[in-house]
Amino acid sequence: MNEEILSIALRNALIEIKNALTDINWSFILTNNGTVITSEEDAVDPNMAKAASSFQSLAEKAGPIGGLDNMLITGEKGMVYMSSVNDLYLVAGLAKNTDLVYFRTITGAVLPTILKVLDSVTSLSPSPTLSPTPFKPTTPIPYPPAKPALERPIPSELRIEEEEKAAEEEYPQAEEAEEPEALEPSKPERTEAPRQLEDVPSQQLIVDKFSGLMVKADTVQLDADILKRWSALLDVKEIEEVDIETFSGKTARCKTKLISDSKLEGRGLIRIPEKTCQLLDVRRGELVRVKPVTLGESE
Amino acid sequence: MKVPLKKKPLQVEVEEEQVDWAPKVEEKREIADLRAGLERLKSREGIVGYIIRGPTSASVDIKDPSKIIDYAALSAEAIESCENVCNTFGLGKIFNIILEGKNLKVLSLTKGEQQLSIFMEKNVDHNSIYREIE
Repeated sequence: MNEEILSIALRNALIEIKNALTDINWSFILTNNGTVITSEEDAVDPNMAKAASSFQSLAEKAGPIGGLDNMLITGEKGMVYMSSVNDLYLVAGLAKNTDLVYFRTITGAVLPTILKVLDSVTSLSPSPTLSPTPFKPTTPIPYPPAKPALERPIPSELRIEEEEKAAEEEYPQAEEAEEPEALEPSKPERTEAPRQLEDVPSQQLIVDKFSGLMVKADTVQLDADILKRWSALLDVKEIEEVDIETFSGKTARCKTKLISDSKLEGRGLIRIPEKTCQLLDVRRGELVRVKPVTLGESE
Repeated sequence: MKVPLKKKPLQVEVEEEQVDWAPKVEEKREIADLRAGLERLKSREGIVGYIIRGPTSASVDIKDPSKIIDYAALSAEAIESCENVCNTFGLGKIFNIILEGKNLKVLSLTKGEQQLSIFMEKNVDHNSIYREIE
């Protein structure tokens, strides 16, 4: 998401919340890495930056209680309230006798709604700021595309019509072939594929969709085991990029990252940002073919 | 004439003696009361344990001993970070701090020289615990 839009929207939200609840003395929003992204004042106060650093060190140590969801400091002259909203933290300085229930109701309803709206708006219109690696058409792995997928309309930005045409020419019987054995990789056509693709290991993985405010659309999450295996096979230090190919023939090149949720490790998943899922036209649970990008392939 | 002269120094001596040693006894009694209060609280449903840290000693009673270090680090960080925040924004003395995680919550406060953190389940009423300790 464009951080400037996010900052402006949240700042306006903080101002409106302050208008509704006059007990708020100051407020700001920080990310989970301790960066103040917005405050209801024009500029970020140095005090806020200092406080943000204190909150971040506290949040880092809050693992034993299941992370830091909420915090309330009651002081002699007022209160400080901090609450996690998605991947962000709202911090507000409140007057001594603030109605906390009312405050929580307002912030708990307004901020998540704004974030959700912003998230869905930016998902619909891809932002250039957070997608530095554009989707590049890559040579498709030679298996015939499934019949229903060919009938779907394909967004022009992926520039894959040419690839599909090539695939149709390469597999003229693909339209008629309904049997699953048509997907068998041991077809003679496979020998016509570039040698590079033969050498590079590829794997079918199950798509898991994820979204979030600070999620980069060009980065997918993979199992550490898979990445290690590939880097060992290709004799490279690490796999920085992968090519993803759907069974309808759409491809995308994305950067790699380890799966952040330990519960999802070792399940043969590839976690793809929602925006990328939309561009690739894949849904959660579908299979995609994933292939590491070697040095020769990457630019 | 002689009687008031004898009485006056005696009065001063008594006052000085009270100022010197009375707070120490009071403080010891407070710590003992605090510990006794915490022992009572510990048996309550939902209380996971507590940590008291004074200038020279600390006392820890946590149901799961493997988490003592993590809890102690969190307790110290909570009090230190919140003091920094309060100093930054001029909130004065801290009465209490409530930290809520996904699994547990912590009530931290400073009583005299003792820094205290009580770890509890999320459904425990921390306000009643605070009132009891205060």
